[in-house]
Amino acid sequence: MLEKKTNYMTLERMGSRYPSRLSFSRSMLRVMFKENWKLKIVKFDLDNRGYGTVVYQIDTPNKKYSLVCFSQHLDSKERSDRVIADKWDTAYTLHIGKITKTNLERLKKNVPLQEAGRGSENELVLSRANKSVRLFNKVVECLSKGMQPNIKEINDVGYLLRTTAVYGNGKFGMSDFLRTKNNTDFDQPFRAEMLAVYIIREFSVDLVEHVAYQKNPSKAVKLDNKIKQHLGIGNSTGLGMAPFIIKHPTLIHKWMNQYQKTLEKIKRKKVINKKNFDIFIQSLVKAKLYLEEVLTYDKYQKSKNYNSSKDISKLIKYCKKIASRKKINISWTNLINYCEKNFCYDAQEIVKVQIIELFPTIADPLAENMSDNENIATNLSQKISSLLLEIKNKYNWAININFKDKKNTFLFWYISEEKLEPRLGERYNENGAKLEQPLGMGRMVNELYNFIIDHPNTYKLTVAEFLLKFPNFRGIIRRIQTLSNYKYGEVHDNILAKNTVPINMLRFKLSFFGASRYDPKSDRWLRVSFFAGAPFYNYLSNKNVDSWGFATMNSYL
Amino acid sequence: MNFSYYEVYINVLRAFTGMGFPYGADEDAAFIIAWLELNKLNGIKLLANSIDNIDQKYDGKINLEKNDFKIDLKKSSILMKGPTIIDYFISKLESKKNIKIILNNCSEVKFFFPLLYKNSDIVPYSSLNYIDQNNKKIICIFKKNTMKIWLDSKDSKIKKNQIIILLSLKSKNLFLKKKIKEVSFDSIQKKLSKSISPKINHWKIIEKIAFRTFVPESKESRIKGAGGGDAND
Repeated sequence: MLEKKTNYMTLERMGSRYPSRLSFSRSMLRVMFKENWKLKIVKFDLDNRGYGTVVYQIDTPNKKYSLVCFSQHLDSKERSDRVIADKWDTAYTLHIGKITKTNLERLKKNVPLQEAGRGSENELVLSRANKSVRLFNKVVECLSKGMQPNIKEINDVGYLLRTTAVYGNGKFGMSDFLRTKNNTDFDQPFRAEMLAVYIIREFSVDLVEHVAYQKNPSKAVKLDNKIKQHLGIGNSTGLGMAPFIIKHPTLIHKWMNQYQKTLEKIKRKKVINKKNFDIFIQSLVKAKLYLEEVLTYDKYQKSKNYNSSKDISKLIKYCKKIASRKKINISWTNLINYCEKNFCYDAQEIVKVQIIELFPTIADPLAENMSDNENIATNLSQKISSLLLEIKNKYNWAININFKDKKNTFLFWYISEEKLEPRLGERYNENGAKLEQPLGMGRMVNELYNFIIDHPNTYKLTVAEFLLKFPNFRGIIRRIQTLSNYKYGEVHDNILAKNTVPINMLRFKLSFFGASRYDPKSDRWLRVSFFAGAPFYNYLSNKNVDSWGFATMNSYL
Repeated sequence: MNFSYYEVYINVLRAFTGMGFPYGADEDAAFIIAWLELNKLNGIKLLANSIDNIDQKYDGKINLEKNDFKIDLKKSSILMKGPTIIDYFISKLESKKNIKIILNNCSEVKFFFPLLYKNSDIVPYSSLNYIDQNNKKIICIFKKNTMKIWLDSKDSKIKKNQIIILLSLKSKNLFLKKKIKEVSFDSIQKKLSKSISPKINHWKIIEKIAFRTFVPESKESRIKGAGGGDAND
């Protein structure tokens, strides 16, 4: 089986992923449509410059929620994507229940302050967004004159507002996910965050149209739906995301396992239906066009997009040849194997996510089971000799690294004093390595392995007996044992190495969120878009709820 | 001030890291404190009062002979040794069916509550006997994600600063009269729906120690980080 040979958890592979039907933005919108969630504006109190408060109310069959939006004047000098910024054009919270006057007053005092304010157990999400300097005023100008902006200009930027953080799960006093998942509609990871982001996108258009109207009430027009659907909501993402992948290994396994399970079930189908194959070819054409249209100035990403586009072209040609025959004499397994053998990682992923699109009955139920209780499982009776064997079998990538070589310990992860956010330092050039976070799992496994090898008298001990004598290895042994049956739980690379590209980890997580239009700004941060191409709430239908992946400028004709 | 469970756990975890607890031991100790605080058993206060005994003094080693079920803790903190002790004896449970452990010179019995509660899904019955600060005999019983604290009406032979832990593969029913407290999955869910409010003076002590783990951001890191450079457009 191919599965045994391919390691999907190397950083390079992780950094080549694309959103799929299983991504959280996709599954959230699907549930919103299927369960007929209602979205309405219950307060629209903006002045003629667009400053003030707007409240959207969401009614699900179970509960009511409110997305509260605050918009304020921001001097251009104060506008920054950095997490250390302390003022933003707009700020948001997703609140459980209808908004009351008292709660609105409380939120008004706290939400615009973001990290410096406090949430309560009734808030699920805290976020903020800045206007796109390139696009927001341009669109206001056009609409106020009764004109539509050019879709090419929309495509070059991709959004009117760009979020710089979307917090949830107990941060700043908000509801813990432990509670959220049992007491609200948001039982899947990041579902509440995705709903907030989707409505922020609605707000971005309501805001731009309002400002345009106030500027010139007699001539102003609304954004044409074909143009506005191409708008996403931007997001600047940095290293804050990376440690999550290391700290939540069983959850990461769950996400990957559901994705792989979807593919495995599809691979069991021996025959490809002709109609499906034609749809698949069309989806490749769409993906190729997306790669050509998406704008990035980053050399690394440009070359990735170029190579993927080239490979997808080859595949389209190959598939068209097969489609011209009377019978499709190839299986999905053959096709995936062919791609894994001949194409770059990005192209392989595009092929897989486009195949998954064809099988909603397989993928969609799995997308509703992406949560994990993250229990730890220590096998206290395991003999150290057996643990050693397990390390040899499963952590070959770690035990063969020479950690005496400085380039393999070059980086260290720490929490910044300024904003309590994860950061990356250079061990031999910067201070602070003594306070590094325990994220270098490869090095920790390597140390344990060599310690056991150097102490053969420990082989006969059980783990429980070993830990009485050597409690410092408690964390790493527990991790190895917990992940014993979680083959996608660990990043199979040394994230302390000098040549580590941290954005690979970011892209992995972002793909499961459903982000597109990857635009790296350094090896440590990037910009992406959420919901680009997705139907706006008033236009949501059975036809479009799941057809917006790889959106291109002509997707709405 | 009100906090979420996540904030309590993270702040305490950072404090343990700052006090020199190694990876794994810091997580166990943070779980103990956050669980006690969530269940209104003064976790943060107990930690604030324990700092002199544990700060930069981590020692999780336990010297134990085979078939030894008596440990002199010499007042060293359960936060350092408790998780290993419980793990070790649970590992012996398969062959023994019942295990009685006597811990002498034990400094803070409550730190065992979260550990025995957590293991109550794999150990059908466990109990903890001790004499509290009011000289009352107490028995805590742990079964299937439930902890019940009772006044112990039996004439059990227990000394002050001593703890007797019983681990058993067979569930038991004891007839006890006065229940002092109960913690269950449902009560935890209810507690999670409300914020946690530790005493601010105790919280500040922990916060100050947690602060030790933070590093001032370097210029290089700032330039390369999110939103760095002049690309704010």
